[in-house]
Amino acid sequence: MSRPVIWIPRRLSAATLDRARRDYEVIVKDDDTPGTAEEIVAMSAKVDGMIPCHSEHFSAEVVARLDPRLRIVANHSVGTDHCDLPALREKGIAVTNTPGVLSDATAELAMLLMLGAARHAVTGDRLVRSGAWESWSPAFLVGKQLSGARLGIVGMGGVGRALARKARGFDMEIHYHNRRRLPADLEEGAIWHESFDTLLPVSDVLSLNCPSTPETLGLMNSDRFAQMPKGSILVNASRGSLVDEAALLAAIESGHLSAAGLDCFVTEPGGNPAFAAHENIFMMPHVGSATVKTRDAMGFKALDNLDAFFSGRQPPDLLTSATVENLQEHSHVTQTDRLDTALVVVAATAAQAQTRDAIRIVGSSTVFPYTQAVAEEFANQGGTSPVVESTGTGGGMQIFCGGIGAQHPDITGRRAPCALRVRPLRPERRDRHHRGADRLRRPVHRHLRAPTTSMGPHAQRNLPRPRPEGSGGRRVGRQPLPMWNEINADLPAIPILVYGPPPTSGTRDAFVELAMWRRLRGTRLRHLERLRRRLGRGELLGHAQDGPFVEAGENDNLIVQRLNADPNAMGIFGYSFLYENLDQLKGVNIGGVEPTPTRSRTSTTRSPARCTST
Amino acid sequence: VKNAHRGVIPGLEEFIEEYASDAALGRGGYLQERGLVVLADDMRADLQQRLIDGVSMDAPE
Repeated sequence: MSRPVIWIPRRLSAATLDRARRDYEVIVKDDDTPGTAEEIVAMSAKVDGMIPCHSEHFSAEVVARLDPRLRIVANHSVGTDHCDLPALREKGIAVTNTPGVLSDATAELAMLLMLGAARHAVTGDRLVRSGAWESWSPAFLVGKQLSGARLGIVGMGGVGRALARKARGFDMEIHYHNRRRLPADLEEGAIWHESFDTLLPVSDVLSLNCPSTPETLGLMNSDRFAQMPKGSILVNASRGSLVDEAALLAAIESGHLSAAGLDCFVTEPGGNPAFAAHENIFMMPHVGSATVKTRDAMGFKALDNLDAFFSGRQPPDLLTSATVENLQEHSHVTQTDRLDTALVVVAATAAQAQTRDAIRIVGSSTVFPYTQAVAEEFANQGGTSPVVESTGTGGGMQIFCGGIGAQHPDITGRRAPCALRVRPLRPERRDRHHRGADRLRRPVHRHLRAPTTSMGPHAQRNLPRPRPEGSGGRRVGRQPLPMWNEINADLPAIPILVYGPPPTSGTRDAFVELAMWRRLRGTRLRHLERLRRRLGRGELLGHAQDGPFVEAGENDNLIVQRLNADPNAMGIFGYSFLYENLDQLKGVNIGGVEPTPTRSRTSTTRSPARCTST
Repeated sequence: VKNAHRGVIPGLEEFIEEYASDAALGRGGYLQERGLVVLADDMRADLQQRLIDGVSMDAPE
């Protein structure tokens, strides 16, 4: 009896091809390009089996045209979203996949995505590679630490469980959502969430590890992103269709997500060009399983399935529609952890915290440049250079009040008294808090500059005073106006986009006090006056979150990055940050007033235009 | 400034002295060059004194 003929459209591993040629008549597509619908249909009349990858699409339309000679599609992938399984089953064609063997390689790639996203890998690599790495500062490329962070895993199959084991080595706290709770021996202490909605708010990093099915299409949409903690990270090493890419982009641009790590995209190959503008999106071209070890294992598994099928046995990984839904549960993991290196890194970090000998300073990003200037002077005089972190006013105060001891900072900076903004501590921590807080010194900088409006380096725009009703300007009320020229016809017809600090920020306090509140007090615009009377100061502390004002994190460096990415956007800064970034930013002239040191005095704010408001 | 850290963390006392010095936050100091609005003389002297002496802040209300 002649040997079965199989078609291998993509370049599989050498060991796989050797074994395939030993046992079958093999037709290989030499150019290693995705098999088209026409090629699949044409080859189906010449072969008994195929080993396609996820690049070959067996849509219902393609399946309907397949020649009856083709009897098995032995996929070289664990995912089968490229196959219309009901259509294939209807046609009597067996379908298999390669579960289990990709788990460790894919989980390792998910760790890479997580680390790359958390630690600014794209920016860092670009700076060094391009020769643009010219300075260093304690605030330079400060990322998010994974140890102690909460990892939410969606889909606790083979990949999800392998990822959980690796992440435990990074001292992460593991949460997961699966339709069914795992038995304790597989759960290994991970915290089960019956509902996806309870997993989202506890996920500092959210990793998608579920299969692509009609139910998971667009799983991550704007509502779901909104439920994730501010500053969290999305990792997707599963399938691009799980993510609404427009919603992801919006979450990244708003700063709600601090970063993302993606190995897969809605459009593959190619990805999403809009992501390229954001260096905090760390991307790989769908190579989750691309290790030699795993490629061999996948190829052998596909051949095992063919061997069983052509010898009259049931292939070990035979799929039906029902089993696709249970993919997560069917997956299993056979390899052991190799975490020695990771553990050494974590241990070294912990040791550093115990033996600090430099002064550690946190707090307001506006105060930061001043503190850094003093730190530089201090180091020039022979002192040990203090570690100054720009954490924002609110964040700094939280860290500062964490306790007394070498692991806690010595100084926090803020622009003005801000005790009102400190979140109350839990009762058991209050004693410790007071031991620290009653020693707090009044801030050095009570009279820093007022916030300043700045924009990207290439934009040229001056803002006239808003015009009152009836003189060419439109009513400014609670409803945000989307375009600059709707506020004043002299302004360009481009969308309003202003990045500014969140309510915990000292810059935000100053902006509300000096720009929004004080401006309204002196205004002659009737409707603004009415608004002021009706709302009072408390209401004016709020900004719309869904309009043209985007909270961009407490760290003004993030706003600088966003302005660099979009020259038409504006940002609200402490003046010192404009000073620090004059090579990148342009101060906005408002009503003829330039933001300069003498213009931005806080104590004599009679001039209308240190700040702008949307 | 966490007073409990003063005298414990090496250099903290000296760093505070540098920050409070006229050379830094006084009129014509290097922080003024960077945009700091210098306090009036009496307020600045009061601030410097309280910084050096480690006077506690009032409890938040």
